[in-house]
Amino acid sequence: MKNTAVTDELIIGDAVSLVNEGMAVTLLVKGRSMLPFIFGGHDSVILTKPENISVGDVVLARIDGRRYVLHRVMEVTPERVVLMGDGNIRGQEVCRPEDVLARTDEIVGEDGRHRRLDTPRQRRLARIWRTLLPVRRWILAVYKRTVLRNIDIQ
Amino acid sequence: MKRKEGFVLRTVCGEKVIVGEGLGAIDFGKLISLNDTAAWIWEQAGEQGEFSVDSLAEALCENYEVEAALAHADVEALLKQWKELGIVE
Repeated sequence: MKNTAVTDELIIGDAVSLVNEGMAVTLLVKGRSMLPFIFGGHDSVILTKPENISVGDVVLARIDGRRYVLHRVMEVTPERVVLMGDGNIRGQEVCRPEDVLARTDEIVGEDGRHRRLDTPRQRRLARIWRTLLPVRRWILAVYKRTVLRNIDIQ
Repeated sequence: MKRKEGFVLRTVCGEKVIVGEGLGAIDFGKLISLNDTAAWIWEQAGEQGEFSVDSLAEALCENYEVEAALAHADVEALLKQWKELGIVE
């Protein structure tokens, strides 16, 4: 477990350095905290510099100076940024604007197909998804047993 | 043969890798990782500019304790791989 954590830290740290140099870094993501928009273990995200962050953006941020999360922006002020995973039913992260290290507007699926997150349609879906927060638990439960199961079997 | 423009050697995640910097993009899932000798050959290829299996194998023998025949075979295999990857032309 320890090795995995160290490796992740190193990989993300290097990815962020490259992003700071102006590169677009494609990185496979883990976890299910961004369902149903990003499939951890299957999708890669393209990370770029976090310019003009606004509500609805998906960003990579460092929380409490240690763990990294790739979550959606819920609130932005000059002092703080509030984040939450689309696939989470509770729990938000709060960080300073400078802790937002990269943004992702584009996903690359396993089949190599690109999907944008910043189209009006995707933004609208994300807003709808946000309003469904009270019932997310049940939607996600059904989703994980159906769609995701098929994906994992493939 | 020569190295294709825009591909540079750098250390990412503790590994020596070749990345296409000119593209302004790097895919962590598609990094071309090199061992120390391959990395040395990559740099040597850059210094030589126009190179061949023979010129690189010769340089390898001058700098490493390796038999000429083995050096030639290794460089040949490596260049074949790099050609397939499109990082030399």
